[in-house]
Amino acid sequence: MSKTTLAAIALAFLGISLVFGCAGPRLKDQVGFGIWAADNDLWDEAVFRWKKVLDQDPQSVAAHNNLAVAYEKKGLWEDARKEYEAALKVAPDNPWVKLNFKNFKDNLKPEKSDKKGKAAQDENK
Amino acid sequence: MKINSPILLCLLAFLAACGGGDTYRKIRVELPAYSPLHPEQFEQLVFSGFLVAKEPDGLDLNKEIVEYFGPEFERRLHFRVTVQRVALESEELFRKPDFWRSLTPGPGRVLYITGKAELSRETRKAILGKAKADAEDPLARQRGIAERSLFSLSLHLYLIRGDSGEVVLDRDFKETKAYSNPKQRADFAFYDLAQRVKTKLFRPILSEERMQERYLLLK
Repeated sequence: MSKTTLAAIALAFLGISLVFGCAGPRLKDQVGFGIWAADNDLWDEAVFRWKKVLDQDPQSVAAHNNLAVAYEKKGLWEDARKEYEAALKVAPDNPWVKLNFKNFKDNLKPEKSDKKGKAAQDENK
Repeated sequence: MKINSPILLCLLAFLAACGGGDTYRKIRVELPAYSPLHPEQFEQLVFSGFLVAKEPDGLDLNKEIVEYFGPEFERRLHFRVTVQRVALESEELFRKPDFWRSLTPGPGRVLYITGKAELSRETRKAILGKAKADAEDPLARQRGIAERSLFSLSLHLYLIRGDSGEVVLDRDFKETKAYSNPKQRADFAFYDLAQRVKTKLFRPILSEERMQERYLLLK
């Protein structure tokens, strides 16, 4: 096989790889489609997609984590907690899941009241 | 190696397309605040009085609380608001379900609001910031010491279910504000401080949304 032919095959392969590689997450992959839906504020659709992922792969950290975020958005706190815990069970060191779970728990806490007292400075100025 | 370089290029391209790039997406999303209270379960809110630890002379803190927060609960949560003063002897009473159950006449969906309140006033000396009087600005403040009024409102609120006597919301608020007027009226100060409490109180009760950051995983 000549060098030129090899280069042509390489270029064609590169093109195909890029097309499928980029289009995959948006069009084919349910996780990516769920993210697209979430970006467009279609959270029910996102939940549907991520649940579908879990049907096929119950160990999907992305699906568990993303579902948890969607449940938070819908105010389903217990469901969100379960999904974060499931994600952390599969990937206990995943920094993004850990951060999300921390923020989730902070959101459940009552708003910190100003214990020290916030003296309004405007009156003094 | 030279012959294999296009194959290597293919492999790298494939890996980059399939496995490269970010693994997460940071999003800013409006999430509702968590509320342990389900307002739709109640139709009547009863102000049963507050244990008042301290209040300025001439100000009835219990009355002010009812007058300020009553209409807010009516307007925001559509509760029927009534007042039923109860003899509160100590804070322990807030955690006695039997007591609150005994107050509830029937199976009505009643929510009691009670707690502990304190409005204190202090006069403090403040050092004025400007070092020199500006000759061109006769209104400029002189260096010196001025008196300031400092009001603090402490409000420990309990919302209690009438049917079970269970505490559904237990929040502690402390707000302080300084006034340049040393003779600031206590009722006006209460109004300012209660406004701050109101914002913090109703945000979780109404599950108002707040912008927060979360990470979605791409794979």
